Amino acid sequence: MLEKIKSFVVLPPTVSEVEQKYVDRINKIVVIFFALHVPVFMGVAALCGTGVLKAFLLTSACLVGPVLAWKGLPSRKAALVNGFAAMCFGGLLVHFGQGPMQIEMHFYFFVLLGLLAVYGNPMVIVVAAVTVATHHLLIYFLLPSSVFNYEASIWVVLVHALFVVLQSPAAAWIARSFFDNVIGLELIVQARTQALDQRNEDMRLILDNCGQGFVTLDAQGNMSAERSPAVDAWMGHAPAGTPFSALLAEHNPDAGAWFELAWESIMDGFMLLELCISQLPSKVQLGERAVQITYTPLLDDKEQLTGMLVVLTDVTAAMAQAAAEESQLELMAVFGHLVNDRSGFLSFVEEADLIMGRIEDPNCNRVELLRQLHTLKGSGSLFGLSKLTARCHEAETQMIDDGTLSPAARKGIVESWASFQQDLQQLMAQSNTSAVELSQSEYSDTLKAAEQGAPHQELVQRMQSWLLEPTDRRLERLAQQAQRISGRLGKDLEVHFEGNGLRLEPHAWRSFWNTMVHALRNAADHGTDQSGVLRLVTALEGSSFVLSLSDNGPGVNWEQVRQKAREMGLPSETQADLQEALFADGLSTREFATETSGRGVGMSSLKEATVSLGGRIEIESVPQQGTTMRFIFPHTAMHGQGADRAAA
Amino acid sequence: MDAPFSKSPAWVRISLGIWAPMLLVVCAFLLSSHLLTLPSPEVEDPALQAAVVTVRKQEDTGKWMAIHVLYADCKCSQGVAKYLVSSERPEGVAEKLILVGEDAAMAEQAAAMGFEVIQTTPEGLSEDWHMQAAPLLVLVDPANQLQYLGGYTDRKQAADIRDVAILSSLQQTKSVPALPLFGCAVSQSLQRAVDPFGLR
Amino acid sequence: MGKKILVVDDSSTVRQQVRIALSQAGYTVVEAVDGMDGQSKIQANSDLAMVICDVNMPRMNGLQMLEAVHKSGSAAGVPIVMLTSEAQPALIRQAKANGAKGWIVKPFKAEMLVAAVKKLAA
Repeated sequence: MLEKIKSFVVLPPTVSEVEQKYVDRINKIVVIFFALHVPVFMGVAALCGTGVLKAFLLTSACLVGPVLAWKGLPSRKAALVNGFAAMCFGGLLVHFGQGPMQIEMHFYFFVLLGLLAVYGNPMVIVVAAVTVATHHLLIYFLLPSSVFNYEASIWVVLVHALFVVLQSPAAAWIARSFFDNVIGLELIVQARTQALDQRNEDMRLILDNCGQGFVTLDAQGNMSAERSPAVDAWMGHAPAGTPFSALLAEHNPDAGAWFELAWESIMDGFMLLELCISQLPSKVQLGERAVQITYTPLLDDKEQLTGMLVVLTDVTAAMAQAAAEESQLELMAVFGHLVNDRSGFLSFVEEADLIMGRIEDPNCNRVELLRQLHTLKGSGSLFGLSKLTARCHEAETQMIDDGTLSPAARKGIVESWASFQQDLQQLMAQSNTSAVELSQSEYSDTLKAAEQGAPHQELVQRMQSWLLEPTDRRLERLAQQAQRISGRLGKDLEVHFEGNGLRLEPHAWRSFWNTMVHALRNAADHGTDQSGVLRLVTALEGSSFVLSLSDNGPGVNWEQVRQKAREMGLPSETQADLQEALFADGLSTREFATETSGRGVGMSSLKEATVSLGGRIEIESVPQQGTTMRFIFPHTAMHGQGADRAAA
Repeated sequence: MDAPFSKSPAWVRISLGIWAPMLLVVCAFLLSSHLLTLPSPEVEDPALQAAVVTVRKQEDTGKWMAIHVLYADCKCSQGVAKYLVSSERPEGVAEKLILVGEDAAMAEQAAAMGFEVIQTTPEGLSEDWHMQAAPLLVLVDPANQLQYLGGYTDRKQAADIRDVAILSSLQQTKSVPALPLFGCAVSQSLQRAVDPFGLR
Repeated sequence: MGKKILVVDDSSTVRQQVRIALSQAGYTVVEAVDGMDGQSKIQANSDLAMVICDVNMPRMNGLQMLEAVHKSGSAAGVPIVMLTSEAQPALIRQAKANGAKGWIVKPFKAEMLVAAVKKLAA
């Protein structure tokens, strides 16, 4: 019980800032209030004839305490002094108000006891009550009982005490409630804030240790102050309120512009929110770091967008991993080709390298660029270079859609090729690049000839030819490719080839062999029916070297070619014109471009390669029986001596 | 209650330590003046008895006698004096005013109202009457018996001065308890005890 | 008969994608192969609920068509949405300036297209 009363009367020791300010202010007001007592009490004294000067002196003396306390004591202690002084002022008022109104002057005590509750400190009330009690008790100590009759006054004292006892606890209770619920509110808020801070700290700890970037944007796309450290670490610190697009643009102007645009479409509100969000940049390169960005809209009750949670995830490692896996697969394919068909593969590499030079050339015109891309795509797919093929296809699509090749797409192809070359060189370093391939029979034939004393010149020619490439090998590869293509088209193609023991200079013919793929595609695609037969033959006809490709398909639809040629403004009068048109850039009778054929650029490359070796193309087509394409070259071309192009 | 800021300077604490008890004592004395009654002389005091007899004059024979002891410097006495000269006085009562100290105006007015004014000093009052405080009312019956010796009011400086009522009650042979004596110490010894600092 | 949507794109693949997605959702799809064609289809069909238009097309591209339509006022009140690839913020800005309501990046998901059309053609 006593403990309870004590804890009720005595405030907790900590003085909050709010209490400090509040009590300071009340102390100031109280000192001013007390100071005004001086003139008022002098007035009362004048009215009652109780001595104006005395009133001035005594009231001023009483004021000394509150002023000293206000200036020199902590607020709470000063409040206690004021509680004491208030009662003394009461005593003075009663004295100076002697006369008919003296009893009414006692109201002062009770009014002040009530007013002191504004301190919100029960102790102030207690001090005041104790002060009153002490006055009354002191009389008995100060004045001799032999002279005075105490009994007459004891009842008056008891009545005084009763009123004080009635009022003080009530005033103290009000003071304490005021402290707990108004002044102490700050403490309650502080405790809650502390709890919240703790939770925030926990949250922060989680964010700090999380490898992802989190940041929220307001409805205008501006960043909030709260974000995980990864955001600042990856993107650099930007103050709260910075548009996310601006920060993004610092690292990646395209992504920044794209974000801004997509955010605008969100703000416009015309388009579906999900669509707009899906069109915000989702993969962004931030310096060395590839970052995936996901967006979660923050909606209010009315489904209105109030902000966006942006989560950034570093996918550099994951992407590198995926790329490494792809490269690995590619490398395995490359390795397979190197083992099975070393020279064929290497000649493709050399050819592709030349093409790459054209692609990188900013002056390369659109048609040629498209043709080179197409060739690269075709041969790349034959050798299993999936990454390169994919880049080429994307670039091709872009060129057809937009008319130009974006620097990014161009760069993608070049980089993809560079990484392939690097892999290849590593592989090559492990095998001998300068080996000469020789079949068992050729070796034994040559040996036999030498043993039998064949003429020196013949042996020299024989051995020189070892560096030439047997057409068999090329034809075999083309046959395989044709079968692969037809397999992809769902056809069952039969392919025959016949090399007739001929050999060709590999470097000079590389381009021709690579572009031959387009003719094969055409043949496999629309030159044959569901089960067709394809023949590939190299032969010497007089002084000419001839490669022929025949199918048993429906034959060339010359009418359609004529129509297309007209549309394109090409001559279409004679059969020769039509044959010419068949190899023109951009002519395709196909509606859709596929990865196999149809963009009308392949055949023109083939023609170019043929002409550069001094050759020409003849086409014989019989409706419903088939088409034969003959590539006719002078004999000398076999050693790489073309019409307008020297052997490499 | 620890102070949140630096400790208060020592001189402030010392000053307040002196200020508070002093103020308490001063206020206690002020309080005493309207809480405690002043001592009045014993009715049986022979000196008082004798003094009463000496003030009765020839023409007062057979009359009730009212002796008002007032102190010129006393606020309460002045109040009573004002009342006496302005109120209707009872018939057939010999009224005397023993005025302690100098107050010519009061004496003149009282004399004009038919009071016999007897001038004296604090010492004279103490010696002749054994009285130390004022205002004091003494009522004496025609047989020179002291019937009332006490204050004028129930409480200090009350507006209701009850001398006439007391007299008429006594005349109807009703006994009246003495009212407490509120007012001023007249004798120096009493003044010293009641108001050592000369505050009043 | 559902609401009529015009799709203008030189790629038959894209037109096919749009047609399949939207007709499954109950829309009637009118196709045009380039801006020129698109413009005449807009004039021929007064009851269009929406136009979906490619940017790069032969003869008359999407922006030119948009501008022409915008000037002639023939498609007033009909929302026009551009189809574009991701590398062309500047083109989109231009399209928006000429009254395009929005834009969709190719390649798009069919369900996203349908949802967007539902909102705009409502």
